[in-house]
Amino acid sequence: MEKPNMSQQRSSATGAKQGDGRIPVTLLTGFLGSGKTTLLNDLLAHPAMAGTAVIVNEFGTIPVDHDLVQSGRETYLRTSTGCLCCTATSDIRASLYELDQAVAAGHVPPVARVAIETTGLADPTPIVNSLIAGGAPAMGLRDHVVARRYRLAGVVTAFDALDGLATLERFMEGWKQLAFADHIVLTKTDLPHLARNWADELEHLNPAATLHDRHAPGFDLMRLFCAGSYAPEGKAEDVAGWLAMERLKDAHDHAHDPARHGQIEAVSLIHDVPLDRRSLDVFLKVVTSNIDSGLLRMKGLFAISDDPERPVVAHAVQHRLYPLTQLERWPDDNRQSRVVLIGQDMPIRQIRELFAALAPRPRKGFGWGSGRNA
Amino acid sequence: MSSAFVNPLQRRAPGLVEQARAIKQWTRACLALPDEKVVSVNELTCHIPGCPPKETVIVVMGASGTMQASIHKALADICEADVTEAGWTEPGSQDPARGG
Repeated sequence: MEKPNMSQQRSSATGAKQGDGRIPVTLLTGFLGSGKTTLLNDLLAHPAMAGTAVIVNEFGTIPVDHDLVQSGRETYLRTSTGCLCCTATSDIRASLYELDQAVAAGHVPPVARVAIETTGLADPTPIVNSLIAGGAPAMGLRDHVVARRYRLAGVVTAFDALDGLATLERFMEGWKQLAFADHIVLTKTDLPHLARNWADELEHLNPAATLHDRHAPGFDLMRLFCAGSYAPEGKAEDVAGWLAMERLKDAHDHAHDPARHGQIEAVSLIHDVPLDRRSLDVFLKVVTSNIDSGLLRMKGLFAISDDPERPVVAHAVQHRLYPLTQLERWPDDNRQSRVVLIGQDMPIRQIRELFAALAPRPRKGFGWGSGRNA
Repeated sequence: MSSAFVNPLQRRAPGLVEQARAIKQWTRACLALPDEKVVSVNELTCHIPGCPPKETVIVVMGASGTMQASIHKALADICEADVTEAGWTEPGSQDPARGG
């Protein structure tokens, strides 16, 4: 499905600055578990996407998405933890400057475009504000170099057809991610879900966006990459207001905590030894089955004692645990089992204890390591 | 798929988007704003001791300038009286200056 009835208008400036020599930057956003990394992998596998540099930002203190991005050897991939929107202006410009310097020094091949995958909790406002003309002021040579070399071309938002509407009820970030989008990509439409007229559901939030169904025949990934420069003017009035507030905030003398996400927190857990598969299944079931546990997202990579060279990947969105998959090999030399849980008011102590209990019991004469917190 | 039972008769609080829309309508009515004025609503989180944990900020923008009001409540808890009683300031000024 490509839904032109949401709007046929693309940002008015699309194509206006085509060929200005600056490298286009596409912001890939979407709430926790909406399918951003899957979409990014699809994009990177596309032959036309050669020369794409990828910057992945993750909320937890240990990167897991990093290991799940299939970037290939030639692709520049940088991961940062924390949240871009909380440290936005400095971090995103620093990442782009670092890329520019790496290219200039010949450490990485020339870059045709940049894709930035935000955390699922990212408020796109400060990120967009730091990359558009008239946004956050340049604070030094680095920022001037970034402005001269890169332009924000577009915002692509993944929207979960299963849980996305519930997210909108509770999280401002989810609303903003949709409102800023040039393209909204409906994900998980291949799974059983209630039939909805998504164009009607989402139009009031962003009448200017083009709506795509990730699983519809004819879905064209390349349409997600805008040729021109991002234009907030074509969006709903909220976007202009949020950007204005961002600029006012910069000038305001009241310094709010940069952690914008209230009670949302991330718990990162690590085991150094392979785990028993049945115990892992129980752990995953317990932490995801209670709908009141506050869990918003879980993602993990686990070494299994029966097959330690093929890690198991687990994903959950709220209380929905997706079928586990197994990779053919570890993405790098790190063989630790690692999992990140993001949520509100989670029973963290119990989760830590349960995870620690996954350590295989030491047999006489052997000394296994135990689970620990990252 | 989840088998969690959802009571269809349970009274639900309005979602964030719906609540923001109501706040914008109250703002337009309270300040008698013409359609061309842009009204935007945001919720900020603050962990600084002494600050309320959530603050709702309303910004009104137009050719004649910008006004804003900060209400020390979460967006979901705002009622019409909060908007009508809010102190409106021009950004950078500290003095409430009501007006459209």
